[in-house]
Amino acid sequence: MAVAEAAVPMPAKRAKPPGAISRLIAHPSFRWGLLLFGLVAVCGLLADWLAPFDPLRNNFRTRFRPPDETFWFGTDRFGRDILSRTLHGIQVSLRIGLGVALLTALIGGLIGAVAGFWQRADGPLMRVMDALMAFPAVLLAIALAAALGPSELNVIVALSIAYVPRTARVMRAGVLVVREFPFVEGARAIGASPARVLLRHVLPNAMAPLVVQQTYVFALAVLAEAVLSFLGVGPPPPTPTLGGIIADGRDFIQEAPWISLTPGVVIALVVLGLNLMGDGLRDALDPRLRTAIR
Amino acid sequence: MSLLSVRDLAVSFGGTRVLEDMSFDIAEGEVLGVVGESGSGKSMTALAIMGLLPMGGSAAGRIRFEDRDLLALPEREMQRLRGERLAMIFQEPMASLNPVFTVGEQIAEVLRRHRGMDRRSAHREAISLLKLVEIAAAERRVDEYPHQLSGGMRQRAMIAIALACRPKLLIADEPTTALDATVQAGILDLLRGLRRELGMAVLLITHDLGVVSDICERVVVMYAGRVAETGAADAIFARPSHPYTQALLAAIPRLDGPIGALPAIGGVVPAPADFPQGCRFAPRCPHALPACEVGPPALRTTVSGTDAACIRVQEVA
Repeated sequence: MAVAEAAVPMPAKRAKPPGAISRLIAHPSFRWGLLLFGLVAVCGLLADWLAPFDPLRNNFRTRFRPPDETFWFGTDRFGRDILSRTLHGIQVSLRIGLGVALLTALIGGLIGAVAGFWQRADGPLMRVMDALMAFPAVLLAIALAAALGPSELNVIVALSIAYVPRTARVMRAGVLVVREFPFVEGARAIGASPARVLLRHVLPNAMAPLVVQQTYVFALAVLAEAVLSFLGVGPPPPTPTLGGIIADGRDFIQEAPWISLTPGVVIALVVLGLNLMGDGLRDALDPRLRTAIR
Repeated sequence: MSLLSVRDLAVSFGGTRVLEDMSFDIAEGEVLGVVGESGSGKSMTALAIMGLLPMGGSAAGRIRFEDRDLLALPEREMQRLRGERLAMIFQEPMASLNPVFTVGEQIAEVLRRHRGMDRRSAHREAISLLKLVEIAAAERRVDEYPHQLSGGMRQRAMIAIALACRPKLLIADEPTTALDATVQAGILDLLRGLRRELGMAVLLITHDLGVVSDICERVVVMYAGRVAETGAADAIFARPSHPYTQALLAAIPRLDGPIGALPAIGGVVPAPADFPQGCRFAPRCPHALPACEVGPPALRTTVSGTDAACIRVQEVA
């Protein structure tokens, strides 16, 4: 069979449209967010090398030292270096934040996808989510963490349960939209099974809002972990956590404000950075806003 | 023996029947056109055959395809049939391809599903399928994403997906509606050529009578969920018997016709919930009698050899 347009010379390969990554980098708020978050995260990751002192070692001769050239951010009531503790605390907080973001994405994503795709599952699943949503997330996490006992893993589990309903809702909304697209009917028409239609055709097209949502969940989890640690139901002492260090300084806020100040500023930077990144991601992944970015 | 035989097909949603008494046959390699206005039940017929009725819809009657009753077939069996023996292309080529996969991946999906091909040979076959549907530079297009293709090319790619396993029956639901006129002609030429080349039957759903006269051998004219008239395309176009078919043909604007207002059929198609008891066209029919409102008219053979659902067909034709 003759190819109709064979005689037409082939156009030169078109310049590739800017990919998602370069579009993200070009986005100012994503760039600033990445800078802030990246800075804090790298410090946390390199805590073992960067920390000048052992974060756990008590030294009663150096109690309540204000910031000086040896202890850049001062020491606490046991003479532990705040900088070293904060650096290690970042590690714990980010591990918990990432764990919660991934776990809620997995569980909430699955629940939301199933609820959105199979109408029969929708009612029961989402009523359970609504019931969870009825409690303030932090309150629920405190109760769960207290019930499960203090450990890093339990904090991740407790926070994940508390934040799963948000993720599930976002995922369900995305699936509800995408499953009506004609290409989903097209996938059925070539004999794809329902599970395959959902996993291969619906989910990849419904992921974008979830990705954005999970950056906010990450930030919320970092904040919530600080709250739990502050209240004493976070990872058990002497594990340095950002919330734990703030709690340590609470009784001495007048005399030694540097104890609470340093981890407090770090939490603010992490959360700000993550939120800015989330905004950037949202703009980059939303095709309706795409032209507005340039 | 016919490839597909539909008998007394009825589709209802809740208590509302949107389609009833639908019967027709398609022989191997035949092109059957189903025409009607929006809401006449054309698409529901197609979806019922594919077993893809929307949520809440149920089909009754018999749909026999190659010795199998599709309505009685378990869903798993239907999944094996779809895309393999029975393929469908849709109205909206712009949205009928998955935006996150390349054209080649989507063609390969059918081949891997039904033919068990490995990734590499499926990719090769995808290229030759794109050549079959006359897409230039198929080797390059195969790795492009749907948004990089024009509307006409996307519909060609859809056809390539549908034809991947050489189905016996292709259902084309308004395949050219969303395309502009020259692209439309190209797609119809392609369908005509492929059908001859591959020997497949085509069920072409359209509201465009021009398309029907172009490539269909037989026609089913539908009105408000029932068959109005059915028969050979030549006979229906030369001498329509049912008042609705007559009115429909009279409403086609002609280049050599008189200049003035276009002829139209008065009134609108009733909604499925308000379908009249008797002949559904009676309220809009210039020839209607009180007897028309008693019950749905049966199909009767007309002088031109078609079958029309009209009690006055002898006088009207």
